[in-house]
Amino acid sequence: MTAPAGELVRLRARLPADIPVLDAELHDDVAIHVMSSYRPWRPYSPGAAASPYAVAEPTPRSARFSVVTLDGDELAGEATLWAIDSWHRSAHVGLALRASCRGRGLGTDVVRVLCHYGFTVLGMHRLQVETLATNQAMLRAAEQAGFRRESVNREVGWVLGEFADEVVLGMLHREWADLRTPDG
Amino acid sequence: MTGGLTGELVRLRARLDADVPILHADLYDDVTVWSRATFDRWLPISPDLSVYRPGEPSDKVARFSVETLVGDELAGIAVLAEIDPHNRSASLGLFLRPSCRGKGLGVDIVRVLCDYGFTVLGLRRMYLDTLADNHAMQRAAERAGFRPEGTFREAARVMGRFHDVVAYSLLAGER
Repeated sequence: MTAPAGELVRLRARLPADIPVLDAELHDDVAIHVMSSYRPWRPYSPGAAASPYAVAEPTPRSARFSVVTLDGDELAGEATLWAIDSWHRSAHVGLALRASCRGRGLGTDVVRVLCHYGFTVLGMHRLQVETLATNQAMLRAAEQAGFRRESVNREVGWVLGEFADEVVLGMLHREWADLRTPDG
Repeated sequence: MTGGLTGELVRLRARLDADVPILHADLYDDVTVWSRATFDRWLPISPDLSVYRPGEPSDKVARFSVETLVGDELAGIAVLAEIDPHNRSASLGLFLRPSCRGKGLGVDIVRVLCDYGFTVLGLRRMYLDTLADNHAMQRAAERAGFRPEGTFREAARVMGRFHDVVAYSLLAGER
């Protein structure tokens, strides 16, 4: 098997050249960044170790990918399997796309590739997506990939001046396997 | 709030060295109930290294021992965890000794933890997760005003199988 790939994108390890692009387009756009992190946004300078997109040693707790389009080999964003828990065999799915790469159906493909990585490569039992209740693109991507809505967590995050609701979606390994089976 | 962290039946206070052997024997060494309460992987731990040892205070977690008002009996533990000052939220949990279950102490502890979180720490969202078949914890949460938010399917491995976990929350304005 080659590096994880879908129909539109492949996921690969972070390269140094990705960092300034992801810093500028995903972190420095405050409105975009706070949609994927409820931590207080802070400025950092180019090359800072604080960058969430820095090249880092691998860890069993998270798998951080850069997303690259199959057509054109363009850097499209980042994708992460985070809070990987070998006891509960669960992990969380997250992604952020560059502005120029949104609205093209890449999100669903990224979620599917992360599911393949989580369920098939890592042997997870359950994957989970959390997203703001207003983030229609992420909800659509998760549901198209087979996630089901499980919970609305009320006013969980301080997002640009108000406390926002979050939707939690989950998918189990057997549901993923059923989707993979030809003829249902 | 006078008299410290006191409800109608219990008070919450800091952990004392004398609590540790009792909590370790009654809570930790009941493998099934501890696993169900914490969702964590039980391992043998010497009482000298107990998870219930007193520790330094932290900004992220507040650990209490629970005492009955009548008789000053050690009833169990209560904890406010994942304290998040930016999002002004925290999770709560409690664990009672077998002799102290079924007496309505749970809802009193939940209320006192909410007093501490909302009033002392200035939080505005309290939440808890519990197994879908832990009816005592759900009853305590609901009687304290918590609302169910949803069910995380098969999210917790407990005693050899994956269990559903239900999520509850209470916002400051809802009390």
